[in-house]
Amino acid sequence: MQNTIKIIMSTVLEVPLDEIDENSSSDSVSTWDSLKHMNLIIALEQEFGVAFDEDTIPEIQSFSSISSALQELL
Amino acid sequence: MKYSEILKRNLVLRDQFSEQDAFNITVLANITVNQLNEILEMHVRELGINAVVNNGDFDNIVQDSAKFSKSSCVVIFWELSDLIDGFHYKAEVMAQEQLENLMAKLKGEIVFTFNNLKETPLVFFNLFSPFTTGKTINTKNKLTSFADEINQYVVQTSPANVSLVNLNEVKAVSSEKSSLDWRFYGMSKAPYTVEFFINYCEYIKPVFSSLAGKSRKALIFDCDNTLWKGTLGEDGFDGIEMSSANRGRAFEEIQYMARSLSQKGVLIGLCSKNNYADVDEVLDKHPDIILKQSDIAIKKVNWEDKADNLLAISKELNIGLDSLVFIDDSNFEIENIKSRLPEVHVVKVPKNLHEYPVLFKDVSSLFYNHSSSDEDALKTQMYKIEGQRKESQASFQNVSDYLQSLELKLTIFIDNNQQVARLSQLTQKTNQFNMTTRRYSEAEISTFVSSPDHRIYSFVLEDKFGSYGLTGMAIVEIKGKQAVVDTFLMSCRVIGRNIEFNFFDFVFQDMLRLNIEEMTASYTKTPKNSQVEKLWDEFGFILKDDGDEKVYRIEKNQYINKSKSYIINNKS
Repeated sequence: MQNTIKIIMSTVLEVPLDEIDENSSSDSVSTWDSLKHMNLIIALEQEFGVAFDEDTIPEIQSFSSISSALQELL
Repeated sequence: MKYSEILKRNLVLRDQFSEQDAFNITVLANITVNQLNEILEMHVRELGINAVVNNGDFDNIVQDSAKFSKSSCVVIFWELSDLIDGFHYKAEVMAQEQLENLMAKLKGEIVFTFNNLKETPLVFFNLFSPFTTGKTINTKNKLTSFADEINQYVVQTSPANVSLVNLNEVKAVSSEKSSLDWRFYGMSKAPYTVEFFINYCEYIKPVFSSLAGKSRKALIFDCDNTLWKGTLGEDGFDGIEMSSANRGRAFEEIQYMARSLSQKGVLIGLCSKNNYADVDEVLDKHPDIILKQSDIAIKKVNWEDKADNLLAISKELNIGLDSLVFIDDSNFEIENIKSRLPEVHVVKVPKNLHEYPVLFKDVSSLFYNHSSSDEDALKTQMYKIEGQRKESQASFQNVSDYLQSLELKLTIFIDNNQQVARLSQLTQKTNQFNMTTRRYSEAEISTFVSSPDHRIYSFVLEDKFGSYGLTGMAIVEIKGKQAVVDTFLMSCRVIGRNIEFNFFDFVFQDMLRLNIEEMTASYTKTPKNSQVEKLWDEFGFILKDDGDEKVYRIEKNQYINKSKSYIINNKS
């Protein structure tokens, strides 16, 4: 799962896969703006077949928070 | 397709286009639609057009319509919900006067926007619709009345370059529920889902397909179990069914739809293993037949291989295999065509016959022709005459003899305002005899027609069998003492008759009257126009630059007229 998240992040945020790691967040990745965040959420939801609730979406602005939010849903 | 897959596919497609000019599409919206960008790019790039999609500023449609009018295409998402913030739920309690003021303002903005975009070749404008429609009979309200009134106004005022999109139809492709995501409307004013945007792009794709010259032109039917139920050779004249009065109901519907396509300029043909006379008898005399001889442009009814017959059809109609759609009910024939002629789009009649008309409606979009000029309806007629011409070709000693016998008559026009629609269509649809393959909108052609620096020459060709219609054109730019041939093309219907020589002589002589000293012309290679690769050499031009775009030049006293005496030049 961790790796799939990284691949999706790399594709949607348009950064090389090796630049995505456990510490990546909207603070450290310059392309991660609010529009890209929405695209990222949608791509992750399609990939894992889940739906985040609307309070969670603005909260999960890092690899680690995305990863734990997904674990709760799966 | 998932959004991440679209992003990946779009990257692959983008790399194929590095050297092509970009087809700039600008999306203007008063909501957030940023996912449309990559989805639209991918759909248009799949057609071989190097689409690059950009956005105007959020909620700046009116101002940006002036700023981005030079785009090749503008897509407008103008939502009721954000005419004023939350209009979709506020409208019901608004005073009539407020609504009227808003309506008046919106009408003014729309007209202004259309006017700003009048030179933009292609504009998609969504008709106004509430995000959700009602689920009960009690749904007429102020919002829907507002939408009805403004839509009526849009329909009346939208110019020809504006294509109106009915979002209710787009939403209906999957469902209203899967088209909208309220979470993101609340957060980012982004109501539409990826699924909706994919459906939206599929919905408007035929327009791009038509612009790219990829619309199909001919629909070829096998007869048995594709036009009627049953096998003519076994069930006989009285045994086949094609009526709602019997089990042939689906086929009646197919025949009506095929007839309608024929009236829109699609060439209908038959490619069937049957006795020729038997099929003719059905077409001429069957009480239930809808599709008549006059609707059918070509018939290959014999016992030869169908792939060979389709090749012959392509040759006789002078259209590429990639312009053909073939419908058959036999897996064997379908597989045969797929493997031998992969360019042909093949359609298998579904096992459940009630699905056949539904499938047929989807297939019909392959023939979508964006520039609808009245030439189309005449086309079937013209191709039929072409058939007669082919027959008479055989009895002549050589091609000159044959051409002589046709009594070809060329009528040339200069800057003719009435021909704008057809001229634009010619630039968009002509692929083979086309030196530069530059596609022009009606607006652009209009500009050339009225510009003193450009001349558009066009011709109508006739022969003793009838008229071929307006089938060739040239656009020449005058730069002081130099003339530059921007466009030189002829429809495939008139190729092989040496008219290009008479036509170009006329163009050159006319330019001499305008005191030009030299002319330059160019050839840009495409996958389809190799037959004219040497045309400028034939006209006596000297190659100056042998790049991707070959540039040629000729001085005024070097030009030698090449008109054929058997073609009569008519004064327009």
